Amino acid sequence: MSDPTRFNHPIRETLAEADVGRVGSAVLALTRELWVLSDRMAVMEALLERHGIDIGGEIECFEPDAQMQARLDQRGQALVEGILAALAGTEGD
Amino acid sequence: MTFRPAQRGRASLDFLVNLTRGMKAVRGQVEADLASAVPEAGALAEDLDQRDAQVAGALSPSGAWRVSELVGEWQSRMHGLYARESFAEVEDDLAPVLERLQSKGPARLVPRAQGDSAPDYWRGVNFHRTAGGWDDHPMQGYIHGEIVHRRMVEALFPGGIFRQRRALAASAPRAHYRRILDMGASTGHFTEALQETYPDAEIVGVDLSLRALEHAERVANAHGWAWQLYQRPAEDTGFESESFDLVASYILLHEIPADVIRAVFAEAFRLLEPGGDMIMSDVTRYADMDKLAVWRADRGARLGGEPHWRESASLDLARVAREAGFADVVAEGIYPHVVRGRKPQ
Repeated sequence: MSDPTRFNHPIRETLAEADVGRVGSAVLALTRELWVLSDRMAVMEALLERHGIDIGGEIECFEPDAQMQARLDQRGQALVEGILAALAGTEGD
Repeated sequence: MTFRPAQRGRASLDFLVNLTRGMKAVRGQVEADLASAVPEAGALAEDLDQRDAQVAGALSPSGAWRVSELVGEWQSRMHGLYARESFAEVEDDLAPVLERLQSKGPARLVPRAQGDSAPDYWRGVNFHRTAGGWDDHPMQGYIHGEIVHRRMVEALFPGGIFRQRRALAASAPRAHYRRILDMGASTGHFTEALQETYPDAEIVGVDLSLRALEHAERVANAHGWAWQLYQRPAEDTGFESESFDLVASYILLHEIPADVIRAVFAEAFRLLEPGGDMIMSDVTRYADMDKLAVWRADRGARLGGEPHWRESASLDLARVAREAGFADVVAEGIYPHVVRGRKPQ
């Protein structure tokens, strides 16, 4: 038996120099998504506070029901697919 | 004891699940690129390291391949850390419940005797590339059992991994057993399936990870089950000969080297009373796959913190069982690959 701990941190080549431009595109696309989300959250909390509702605590312990979880998953997958397509250079394929 | 994450943890875990699901198009492109890059799979090298170099080299011009490597590597490194982080967010709320379930109830946990050490094939290994290994974080059993497994693995496993465990437990030949040993009980998920299938049986479990067994103890106490759990190797349990009528394991064998697998079957044979049943399950045999499928599995194992997978998946488990003395041996199934046998009267 060779040393099994050498599997702890395997050497794995991932992106090459040729991918750097796509990584930059993906980071910008992700930043856009993050900003859209941040903006929306800030607007939502401001509107709720204007109406006398403090939802910070409720957000922390919120458990989505099956319907909402499905919606979240759909959005999550769409986000991932967009970023991965940017990385792989397959947007619009 | 159910894991209820805070918003950051919940969204982070969902993101990991959706990252895997969102890879579908990239995976499809990789398969198309693979078909072009390796048109004659039969001509690939027999040696698995050489084969990996051949295929990975042929795929290197594929952008989809490089992205799949990036995502795979990131998931391997981050899944355990995100699970820990999500646990930390709610740890204070969970702590009293976990402490009570570990200290009160009918289950019993016997840690490894002082002075004994874990086997070389296990010590220091970050199985599944879990940062720090199974016993680093004091609540690794809960994190692995309730967060990684119940939230992430279950969400992605075709058909449901808990359903698969119950089906395996129910596939033992008898309707009733008196005393059952679960080899590699871990956090108690298969042990639970055995207990629910054979509610009157006395259940004993062994595993090398104390953190995993601590969680199995909590699971047992939460249900009022009097499991006896021991931090001992499956190949050397120290139990009395012929003291069980069923010895079973769920996907343990690929975590141990080939010589130890043979010792595990020998130990199962020793522990069973005459006429007792054995059911062991493991990952898909390399003999049941084509060259490219073996390449995928073997590379996934190498990069996924599975140092013993190749040895295990290359073994003919039916032969190992017969060599250990078992009769009526049948080995079947792709995943899990299941071998059954009986100790002769």
